[in-house]
Amino acid sequence: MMDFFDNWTVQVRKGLLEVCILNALANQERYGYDLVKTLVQIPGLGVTEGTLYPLLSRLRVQGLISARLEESSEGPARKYYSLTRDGRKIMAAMNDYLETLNKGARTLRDGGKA
Amino acid sequence: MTTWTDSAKEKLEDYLTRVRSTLHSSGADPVEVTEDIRRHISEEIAAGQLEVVTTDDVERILLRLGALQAAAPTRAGHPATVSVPATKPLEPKPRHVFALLFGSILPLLALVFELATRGCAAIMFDPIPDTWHLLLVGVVPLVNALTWWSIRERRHSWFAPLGHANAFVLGITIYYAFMFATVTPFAVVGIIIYGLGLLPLAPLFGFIATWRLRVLLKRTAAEQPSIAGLRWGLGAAALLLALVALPIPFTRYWSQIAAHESPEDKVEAVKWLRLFGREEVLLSDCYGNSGWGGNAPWGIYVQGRPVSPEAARSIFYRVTGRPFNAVAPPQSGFGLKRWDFLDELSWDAEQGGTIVGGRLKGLSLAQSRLDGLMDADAAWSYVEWTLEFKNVSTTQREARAQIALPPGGVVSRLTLWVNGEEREAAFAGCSQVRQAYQQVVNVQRRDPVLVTSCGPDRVLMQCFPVPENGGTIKVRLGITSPLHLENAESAVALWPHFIERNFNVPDHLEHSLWVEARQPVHSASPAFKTDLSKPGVQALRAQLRDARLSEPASAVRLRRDAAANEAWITDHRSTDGQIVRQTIKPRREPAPERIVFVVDGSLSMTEFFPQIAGVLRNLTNGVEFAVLLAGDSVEELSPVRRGDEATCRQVADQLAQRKGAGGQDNVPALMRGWDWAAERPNGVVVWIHGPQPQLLENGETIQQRFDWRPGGGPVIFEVQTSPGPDRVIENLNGKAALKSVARYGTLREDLGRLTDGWRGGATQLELTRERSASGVMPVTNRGKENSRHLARLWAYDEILRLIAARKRDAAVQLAGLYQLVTPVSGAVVLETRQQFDQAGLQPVDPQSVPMVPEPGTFVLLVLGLLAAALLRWRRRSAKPAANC
Repeated sequence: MMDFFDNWTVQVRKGLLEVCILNALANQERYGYDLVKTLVQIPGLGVTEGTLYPLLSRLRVQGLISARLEESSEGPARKYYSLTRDGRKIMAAMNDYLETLNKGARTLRDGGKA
Repeated sequence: MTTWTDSAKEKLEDYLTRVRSTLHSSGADPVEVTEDIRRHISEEIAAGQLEVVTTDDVERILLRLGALQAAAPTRAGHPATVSVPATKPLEPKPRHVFALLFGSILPLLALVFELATRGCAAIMFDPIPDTWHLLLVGVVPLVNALTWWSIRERRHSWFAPLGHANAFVLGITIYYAFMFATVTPFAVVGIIIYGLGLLPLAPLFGFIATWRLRVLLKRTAAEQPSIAGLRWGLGAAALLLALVALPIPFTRYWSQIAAHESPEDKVEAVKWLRLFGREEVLLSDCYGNSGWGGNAPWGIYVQGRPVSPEAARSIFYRVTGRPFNAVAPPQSGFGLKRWDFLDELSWDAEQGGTIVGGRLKGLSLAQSRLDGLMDADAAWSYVEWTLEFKNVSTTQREARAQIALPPGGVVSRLTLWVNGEEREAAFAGCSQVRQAYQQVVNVQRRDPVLVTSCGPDRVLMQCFPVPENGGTIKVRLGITSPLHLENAESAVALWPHFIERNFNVPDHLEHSLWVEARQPVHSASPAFKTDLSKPGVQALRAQLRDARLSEPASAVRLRRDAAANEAWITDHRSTDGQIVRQTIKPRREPAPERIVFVVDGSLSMTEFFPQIAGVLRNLTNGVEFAVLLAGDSVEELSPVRRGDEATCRQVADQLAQRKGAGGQDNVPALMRGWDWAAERPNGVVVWIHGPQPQLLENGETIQQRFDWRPGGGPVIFEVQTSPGPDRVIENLNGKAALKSVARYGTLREDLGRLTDGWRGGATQLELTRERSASGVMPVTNRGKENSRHLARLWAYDEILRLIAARKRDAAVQLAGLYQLVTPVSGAVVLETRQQFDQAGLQPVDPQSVPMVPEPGTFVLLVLGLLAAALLRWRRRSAKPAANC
């Protein structure tokens, strides 16, 4: 029974991870370490730090986020990520979609009709 | 300061290696991810304030990082390795295809197409007129392809230099997009309606694609500090384009001013052109062809509006100092195959006219031989110049050339080969022969050849047609000339040579020379080989390149009997058997009361200024002289003054240090020199000049001076320093007051010979020919009868006298009788008897023309050959009989 639940959560979180990254960058640019630490802290997302870097790279290659390096006085140079125009559009579309989906699921749960 | 243990380093590197291999087809950039992880670990170490990083530390941090491939989350607190759904493989996206297609492939196709066909150059303007443009255009597809590949392969180390290169290419595409802007709307319409017209849009698409590649480059290279170099690359492109491309419109801009503005502006414009003008552009405009943007698509001149070919030829001379047709015709850029048929169809505007004009493509001299007979004692020479022209173009061509004759020489024979047979010329008045020629050339388009006088000691030869596709035409000119007597024991002969031509003389072609005389003959040139194989005569043979034919070093010198001061011939053309007698007498030249030196200030004269200075230094004390330099304006190097050693040296030093510039108009200086010389009863002008292929000022002003003083005005001694056309001399054809100084030494030697002759006591040998009744000549002086060439030379002298006396009809009649080309007469060979009849001309009797060997020798040769053949036949006939 638990295996079924585990697999289901994996499927749900797998799709959510990308929209979480985009949302994390929606209002400000953030440097990688900070971004990873923030996302890892989200309850239930269950993501490891190592998982996020390939995902960030993939999103950048796909043109949804952009990155720049900035020297830091506190340590190594920091890599700052921000949303691109395409990324912002996709994020809005994904949020709308999730909202619609969630609303539908909630309606069903409350005994209404979709 | 943090220190890593070796094992910790190994642990990390091992992990990162596995990371790279895991991510190879994940859609993420493995290099970027490993760098991110490295950065993350550094942050962790900094946060933990570790001074020494051990294997345990690394393992701890890596454990927190978790399994890398686990993009899939696990249930909180229970890490589990779950396969990450494969991200999409990195395939070229549409925008990458656009960048490759329009940034690299289309520009490359357009370049190859243009090189292969030269279509744009032929129809509109030439986008790649020289090597520099080719390199600039070639860089575009190359750099764009490289950028595209580097983005695709994520070659991060290449990104920084590619950022600069991309900006440079951007600058080039902007320039070409602007150049093709006039074509763009029509190309768009062409694509919409006909589906054609993509190539003219290549520069515009190239610009857009290059910009797109820059955006992609920036995005891909995010971990680099930045993709810089936009200003640098654009600046470099602008600088190179300014150096390579801007001289073309600048040249045209200054050409327009030089052609149309006020005299002061013209001088200024020519100075600018000398400094920054493109010679190839000027040369192209001389031919009025499409190269270098000479054509205007829809009336818009992309590379500047060219002036007319006539104006361009004048400007070319003023700027370079050379005739436009003295250099190879322009090549319209590069190309495997030019649209040559467009050039071939272009009409030869000078065909049948009196101007040599530009070099014609495909027309060249195929063979040339000069055969000469000389008599040093009687001081005459006869040279036959046989020329064969070849035409490899696709249209018939007319070969034209100005030919310099030996001083005092006259064309006395003209032959054309028609279907392998020799046809002799008819000699008549200039207008009559030219009209006959033009009728045949322009209307009937059949085989004629025409020779007319075009200046002192120069003729214009033109023959038509040289058949297309490798066809040939063969002509021969016979030239009778007096020999120049250096002294009583030495005579000099010069070779005829080309002054100006509209055909090419291949580098490998050599003129084949053969000259015979009864006196010892030699040349200073080592190219000449002596031939003593024939008893009683000496011969010289040589193979000479075209440039060497006119050199004084190629002159032939003959030893002569100092006592031989008379020669005579019965004039068979006289009605009552008169004889022509030539005498050689010493003559003392009267010293002129004033000498005005007019020196051409053209660039080509620079090397001769020291030699002229050398002559000025040696001027006789007390002589009244002046020196004028024909520059952009007339410069008085020395006003009229009495010469003394110090003055002459000062003026000479001043001249020796001067440098010529471009090509100068000599007429204003010549007129001022004539005016100064005319202030004294016996003033002379010594005009030392290079070729002047364009008459830049009104020639009538100087003509007027000669017309008013046909016999008594100042004499102009012209000394030309190098071979080439001179319209000023042509303009003064037939004027007795213009005397050419023969050139068979260095300029200093020949000038010195002239000025030394004016010193007190110096004498020169003079040839005088007169015709009189047979009984008038003293019997003691008769000796052996000489050559008919003496009669021809007498007739030529007489014709010039008649012209000076304005007895033109009598001069024409005499020229026709003696078959000579003079300022009032010409020679024409037509193809058929009917053509001669229609033109009212009578071809000469082949028996009456001079030839090499001479008729007497020729007959003896034929008789000798016949005798030898008879003897051999008799011996052969006798052998069988003996055997029997």
